[in-house]
This record gives sequence, structure tokens and C-alpha cells, in this order.
Amino acid sequence: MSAQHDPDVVARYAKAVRAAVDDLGPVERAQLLDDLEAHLQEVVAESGATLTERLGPPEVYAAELRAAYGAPPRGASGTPAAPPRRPPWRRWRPLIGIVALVLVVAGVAVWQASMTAFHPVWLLVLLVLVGVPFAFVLVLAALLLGVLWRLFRRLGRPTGIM
Amino acid sequence: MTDGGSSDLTQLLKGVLDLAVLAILAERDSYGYDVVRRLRESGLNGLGDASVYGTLRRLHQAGALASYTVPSAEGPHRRYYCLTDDGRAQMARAASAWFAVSRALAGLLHGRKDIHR
Repeated sequence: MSAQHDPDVVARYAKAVRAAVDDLGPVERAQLLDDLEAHLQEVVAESGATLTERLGPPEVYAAELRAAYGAPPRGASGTPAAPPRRPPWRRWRPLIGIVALVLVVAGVAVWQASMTAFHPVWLLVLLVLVGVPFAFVLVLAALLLGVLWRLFRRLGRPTGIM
Repeated sequence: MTDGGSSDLTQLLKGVLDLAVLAILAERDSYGYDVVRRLRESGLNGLGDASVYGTLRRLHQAGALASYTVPSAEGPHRRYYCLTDDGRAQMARAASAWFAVSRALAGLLHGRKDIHR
């Protein structure tokens, strides 16, 4: 009995081919590997040569299969990875910082006022009167700083062609 | 034939493999290994099995071929491929292109004494 008639020969070759396409999606894999064992058994039954002599190494067989199918070569699948997307909350980071600062200041003010036994309604009025204009000024300052920062960056950029 | 000649033939065949497979299946439905065998019997020896199988699956995925399974006494079930209407239209287009290229090349090469047929 030759090695060709060993059922493990087909299984081993098929396993290596499967491993060489395991980076593809499930649909592509299913399409590519459909009736792989049937093909290998036909080759074994008909040919006197080993599977590798007849078809080449499993990796070469898999590469040829991928190329004919139109799948990308192993190691080059898909498009280059997209640059990491900036989390949307980062755009609002300055505003979140300002709001947090206002809350802290307001909290301290309320705590201090409570120590002096103000009526709660007055505390609320104090909070609104102090907190809202304070937040407004901080937002304006942040916007102004942003505009100035962009202006400086634009002025600093070289305009001529090297 | 030299190795270089064999490589040229393989490259040439890759360009017309779709047409060759469609033409084989236009004659009659076949399973993968039968397509490989019939291509070789027709004289197209430079094609790898995997190229033929990959082409069959791509054409099937594209809708040019349909398939059905048939039980086999000798082993696992065989998947038979047949042409769809889209496949026949694709074959007609590819055949027209092939004949145009073939005529043009025959005209270019006709009568040259430094070419071995």
C-alpha cells in the first residue's frame, strides 16, 4: 500500500490548505474550500504521484486558488487599516472641562453658603447669578483662545513652494 | 518546450481561463476535476488544478454558473456546474474578444520564418 492511499494524506493536505486561507471571511472560505476533499481524492485515485508532486505544496495550491478566485494574497488582505478614529467626546473636552469647573465652584459656593445658614432659595439665586455669568465668560474665553490658536497656526505655516 | 515557453503559455492561458471554462461547461455540465481533465484533453496543459477550481468558484459566485450535487459511488458527492444565462452571455462576449485578438495576432505573425509553429 503506497502512501498515496493513506486517507490521512488527503486530510493532512486539506488541513494545510484550510490553514492557508484562514485569514479570509467565512463566505470566501466556504466558497474556496467547497469540495476540496473531493478534488484531492480524485487526484489521489487517478495519479501515481503524491499530492505535493501533482499539485505543489498546500500553501502554493492555496495561493493559486486565492488568485484565481480573486481573493487577496495571504498577508495582504483588505485595505490598509484606517487611522484610529478620534472619539467624538474629545471635541467637547474643553466645554466638559468648563462645565466641571463651574460645578465644582458652585458646589464650593453652596457648601460655604450652607455654613452661613442662608435660605436655600437664596443659595439657588446665588448659584445662578454667579455660576451662569462665570460659565459664559469661560466659554467666551475658550472660543477666543481657539480662534487665536488657529490664527497663529495659519500665520506660522509656510506658504511658498520649496 | 522550454521552461520559459511553458511559463509564457501559463500566463497566456490565465487570461483566457474564464472563456475556456465557460466553453467546457457549454458542452455539458461537469464537476471540478472533470473540468480540469477536459481542459487538459483539449490541449490546455499549463493550467494548475487550483486555478481551475478557483475560477469555477469565482464564476459561480458571480452568477455565471449554477451548481448542483450528484452522489458518487466512488467517494464524496460531486458538485456539478452548469452555465446560467449570464454565463452564456459572458461566454459570447469573451469569445468575440478572443476571435478579434486571435485574428489580429495571426495577421501580425503570419509568414514569419523565425517562428516555430
